[in-house]
Amino acid sequence: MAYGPEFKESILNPGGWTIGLNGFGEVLPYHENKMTLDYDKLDQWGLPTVTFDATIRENELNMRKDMQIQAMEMLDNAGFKNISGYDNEYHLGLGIHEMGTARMGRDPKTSVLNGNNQLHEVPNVFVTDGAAMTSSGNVNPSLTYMALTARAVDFAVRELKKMNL
Amino acid sequence: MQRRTALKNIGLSFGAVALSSTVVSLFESCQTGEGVWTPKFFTSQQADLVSKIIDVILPTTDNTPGANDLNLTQFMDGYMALVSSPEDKEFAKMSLPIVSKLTLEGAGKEKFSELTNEDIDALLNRFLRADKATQESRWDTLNAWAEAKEKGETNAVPEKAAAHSMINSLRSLAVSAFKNSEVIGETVLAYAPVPGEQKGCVSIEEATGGRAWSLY
Ligand SMILES: Cc1cc2nc3c(=O)[nH]c(=O)nc-3n(C[C@H](O)[C@H](O)[C@H](O)COP(=O)(O)OP(=O)(O)OC[C@H]3O[C@@H](n4cnc5c(N)ncnc54)[C@H](O)[C@@H]3O)c2cc1C
Repeated sequence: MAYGPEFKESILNPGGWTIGLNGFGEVLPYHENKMTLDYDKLDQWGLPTVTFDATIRENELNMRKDMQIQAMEMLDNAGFKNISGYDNEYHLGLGIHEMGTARMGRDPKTSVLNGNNQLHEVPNVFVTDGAAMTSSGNVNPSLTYMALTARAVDFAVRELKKMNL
Repeated sequence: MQRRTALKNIGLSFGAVALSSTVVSLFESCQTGEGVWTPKFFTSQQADLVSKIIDVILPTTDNTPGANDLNLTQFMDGYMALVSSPEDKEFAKMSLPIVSKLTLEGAGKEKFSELTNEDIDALLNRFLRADKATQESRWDTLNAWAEAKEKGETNAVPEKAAAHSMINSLRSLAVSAFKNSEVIGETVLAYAPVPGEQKGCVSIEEATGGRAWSLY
């Protein structure tokens, strides 16, 4: 084709089409995943730079295999043809759901924040953003940050009124 | 993908017409076009050649108008003059004379007025229907030239590669203008400017009479 009457006809008609199905899986809160401050490498203001050391591990890798199989089965059952699976390698950050690094938990030895987004070590510091959530679920996180924040603020105000902070 | 990055910087991006108020008024002026118009971007010889080329790419057929029925040369000239980027303009100014030269050489003719549809067909056949390996190597050649140019080297333009790219761009621009023109967009393609309903499962024949959607 490339040009001529048939080419002209073809551009007026619908061409081939495909659809894609993406999986979005949970990232588990492994202790090995961490963020540290690098005092040997300072930024232009003399502050330590951030180093992220995190990766997806066996569970996530297996989940990716399973998601691929499930997706292909769903499409197949729905009657689609010419189905092919793919796994483009994943690195943390590609999901752009920034969260984690200040784990919430009961034990000060294993977590930074308590159940009210308050530092175990420093009661008048609250961290109310995505940092509290070290497990990145498969759904959008922002509404949960907001809910956690509203709850943390409510707690902080009550504590302030009781002169506990 | 990374391989031919330099190509992007020398103006090979034109082709897809993005609708803007300038583009809309260009279409309007083409509709009233009286046959006589003075090209703003092309030389009159180039305008003549472009019109011959797009006539072979999108000829008039029994059921649909062709590129020249819609005055697309006039549109493309206006588009190049008013809308295209400086890089696109520079590339076109460099490549159009090469296309002209290769067309005449290929046809063994001296004058543009002597060029026939068969000559243009032979030209397009050599470029648009070149085998894949030839096309690939032309892109590589052009990219190597563009990379060298970015480094400040001034090498002779690889003529066939530049002409190939120019003819490709002319085709893309013509196709895009063709589909966006009022006649094709409203009376040939399936036209629903304000889509109001969603039917989940219907045949293409029933939905659009077998045509692609306009305004996608
Ligand atoms: C393109 C994109 C699309 C997204 N879409 C969705 C979506 O649809 N739904 C959803 O739920 N989530 C979505 N997310 C994720 C969500 O936006 C983030 O997870 C969330 O914004 C993180 O909130 P945060 O408050 O923890 O951090 P951030 O919003 O990143 O806030 C950190 C703040 O700290 C500031 N800061 C950094 N360093 C310093 C410093 N040294 N001093 C002072 N301030 C500093 C930064 O400027 C920034 O304002 C999306 C993210 C991206 C990038």
